[in-house]
Amino acid sequence: MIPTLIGITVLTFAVMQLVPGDPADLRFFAEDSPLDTGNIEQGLAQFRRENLLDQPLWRQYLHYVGPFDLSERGHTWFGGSGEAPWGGLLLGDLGREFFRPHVTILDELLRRLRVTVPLALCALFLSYLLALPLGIYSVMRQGSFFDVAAGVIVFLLYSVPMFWAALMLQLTFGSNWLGLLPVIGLADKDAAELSTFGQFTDVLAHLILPVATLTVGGFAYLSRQMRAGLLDVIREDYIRTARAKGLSERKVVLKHGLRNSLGPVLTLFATIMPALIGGSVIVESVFDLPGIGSYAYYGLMQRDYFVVMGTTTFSAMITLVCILVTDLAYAWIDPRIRYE
Amino acid sequence: MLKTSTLALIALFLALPATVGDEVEPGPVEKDVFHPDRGKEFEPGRGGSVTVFLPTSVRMLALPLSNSSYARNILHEVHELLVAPDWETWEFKGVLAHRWDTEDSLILKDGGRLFGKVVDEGENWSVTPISPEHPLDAPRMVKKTDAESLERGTVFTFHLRKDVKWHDGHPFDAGDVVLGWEIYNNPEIQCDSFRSSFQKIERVERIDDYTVRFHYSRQYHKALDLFRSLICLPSHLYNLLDPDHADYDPEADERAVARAVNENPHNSNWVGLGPYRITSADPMLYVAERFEDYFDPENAGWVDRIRWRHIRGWETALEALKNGELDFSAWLSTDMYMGAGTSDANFTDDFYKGTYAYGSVNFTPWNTRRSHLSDPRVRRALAHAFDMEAYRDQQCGGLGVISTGTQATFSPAYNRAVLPLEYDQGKAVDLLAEAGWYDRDGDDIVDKDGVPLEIEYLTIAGHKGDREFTELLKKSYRKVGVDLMVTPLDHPTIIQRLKERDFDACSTSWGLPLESNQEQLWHTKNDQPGRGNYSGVRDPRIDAWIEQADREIDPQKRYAIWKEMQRYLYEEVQPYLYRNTVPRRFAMSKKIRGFQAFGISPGYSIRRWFLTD
Repeated sequence: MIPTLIGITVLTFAVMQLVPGDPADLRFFAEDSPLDTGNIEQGLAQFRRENLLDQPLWRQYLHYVGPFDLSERGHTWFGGSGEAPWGGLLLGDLGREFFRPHVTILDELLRRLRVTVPLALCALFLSYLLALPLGIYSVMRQGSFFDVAAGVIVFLLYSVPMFWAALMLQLTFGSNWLGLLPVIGLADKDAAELSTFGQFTDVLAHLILPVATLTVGGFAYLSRQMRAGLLDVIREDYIRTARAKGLSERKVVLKHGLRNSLGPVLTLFATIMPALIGGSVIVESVFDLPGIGSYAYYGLMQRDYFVVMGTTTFSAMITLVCILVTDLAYAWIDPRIRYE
Repeated sequence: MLKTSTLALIALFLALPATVGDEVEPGPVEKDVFHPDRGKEFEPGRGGSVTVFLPTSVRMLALPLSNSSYARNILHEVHELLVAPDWETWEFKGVLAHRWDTEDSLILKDGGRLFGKVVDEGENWSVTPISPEHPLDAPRMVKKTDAESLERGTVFTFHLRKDVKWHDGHPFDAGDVVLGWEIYNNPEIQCDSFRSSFQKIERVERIDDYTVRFHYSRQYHKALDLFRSLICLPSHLYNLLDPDHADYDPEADERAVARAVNENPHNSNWVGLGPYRITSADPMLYVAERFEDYFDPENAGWVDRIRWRHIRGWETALEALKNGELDFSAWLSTDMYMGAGTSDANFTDDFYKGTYAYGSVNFTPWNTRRSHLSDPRVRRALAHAFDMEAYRDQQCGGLGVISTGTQATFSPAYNRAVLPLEYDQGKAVDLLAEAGWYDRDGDDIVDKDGVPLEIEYLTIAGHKGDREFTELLKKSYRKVGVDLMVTPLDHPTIIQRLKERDFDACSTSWGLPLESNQEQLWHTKNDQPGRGNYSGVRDPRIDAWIEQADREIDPQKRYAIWKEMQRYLYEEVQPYLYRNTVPRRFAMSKKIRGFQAFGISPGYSIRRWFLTD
């Protein structure tokens, strides 16, 4: 895991450096900012100095990784004043935002996780909840009209780009057409005046479209995987034996086939969950949700390297944890698998 | 001067019968001009909340550090200034200062300096003290031969109200005003965008707890106007050297003091002096609620809560508005404003739309340092080659005013006698030929010294208005043998290209106050890459006009200078291709009344709004 994580941070750092645009420029030439009324070279130099943007890339990267703070307030070994000798990723310090230096990125990520993770978990739960029965039913009705129609629909859903799905859902369920659901944010603007139950249902209503958007792709992919996995299993000899014993098709599939086909589907958890977290960049931007996806977008547009590095590292860690959990789950489902 | 965005769209001044129009003058402003029930009178009452759309996220509210016009919009409701222009009369009036004295400075040949009311008495100047705690206890006569120079309107003494409290209950006093200026003297504090302006003030005296005196080093035409940007800061929360500060440290050095400002959590969670106090601060959403201890009940506002909500994309914001999640958006594109989205019952049942004049100018700066754009005849040819009026008529429904200068078109400093160059492709071809550009190799592109006339035009990627404009521009230029190559880029990349002057042409805009100081745009000292003189104009005549106007405190004489400079720039230099001046197109909930459109940015005052349900 560690080498993978290091690789991800190196890659992200390198890619961010390749993107044109200087954060120091954005500090003073923001889209809506007044023109320079005088000499701002000093301010630019100070901003670069404080954020190590005037340092070699290797030094900037090592500062990000830690554990030594290499800024002018950092460790005396590296020419700093010694005020804040330690810092960096190794110590759980993701740095501070360029443009709001009173905000630490870790705190902001943790705050925003409260939006992104429930959203992703809801979408994941719904994806499995819908995909497994659909996949199983398709196998039990293999070759039927239902199976073919479900295949076509699921394939179409899988092909739909997430941003397009989000916009279509907004247009359909928002005021433009049906007017049934809120299209942005997590809560109504007057939610504070609602009862506790009212606030709860209000949040649920706001979550429906983002969760649906996130669910579409994952559900479609999972259901096809479930169908394919189960089809492989029911061609095995022991399934033939079960049928020969005179068991009903329902029992054959659900009792003998299902458990053995679940392994590969569960493994997909490690793929789907990071994809959902990644997809949150689009969903949170379209539905205007304050999660880590929209934070990553903000960081990218503001060229805030630390925000982008922080969100990417965080997502990478989630992915690695998901892979670990999946490996453990695999062993639990299939007793033949043991990790030394 | 505000750089609003490169997302400059199309103006809508003339078409709507109820439009406020492109002429804005000081005087009473009618309420609810566009409201379908504008004839119905309502008695304003307190209560309710409004949610206002923010087109961009606001990093922080501490204006000296954040330097954002949107932060300034929010501060209008949650903070107050020493003095501010009246929305309607445009005359300055006291806010935190209940009155102020303005005095002149007499610079003596022996290096001394006297201030007071200076009157010409023939061979002498008489200097009469006006403000309290004055170093002169009686009028004094000074021989003109002993005086080096007279600097008019250079000393301001503000008398502060004594009933003002910060939102945390701490009393406001002169120390907070002084801190608002002192931060510019600490080079470690990240307030460089305003630093050079405030360094025109050489000294500030705290006369007593409620009297502050500012001394300008020299005469400056925007001396009083600069106090609109002086943000008083709560010393007890920002100044480590203030005994009331929780981390009071009399030994704190410059860096520690700077850090307490730069990294102060109140930069976002603002503690201000306005009728509304911030209760929730996030770049995406700021919430402010009524501050009951506000000092001026008559201007305390009607609604109880204001939200400023950032939503990405104007289209999404319109959807949110129609869904009832916003009450006001001042950012509708032409398509949105003219289209079905704001004409069907979904919209008109609960909302209405309108326009108001807003100081801005949309333009394409030509990089005059590039050899193929260095000849004014080429730039004039490019203006003649495109039918801007047809563009306005066909693409913008015949709406909009085409500027010819960098003052707001309704500003008294704008020269209306300077008219846009007429569309005449023949003249464009002749001018190009005169400058040595004609088609020598038969490829339909004019060339000179073996180089074809190709112009790279930078636009914001995905911006529909810019895309349509550049498509038409490209077609028009092709007809006179100029190849326009459009390069869509993201905003940070465009900023970098502009800053490095690595561009031929670009779509951009300026937001303009009632009178814009032209120094930032045209003075030679600002022609370095990264400064506001994007086109790289270097002209001693322009520099002289700017320096003359900078000292001219008679508005009429100054306007005459700006007007002459505008004529010269447009007719002789032609550094910009001007597009339509943009009025704001807004959509508003019908339940809000009391909307007035002002010539002063942001063009409206939320504290004048009230709800009818």
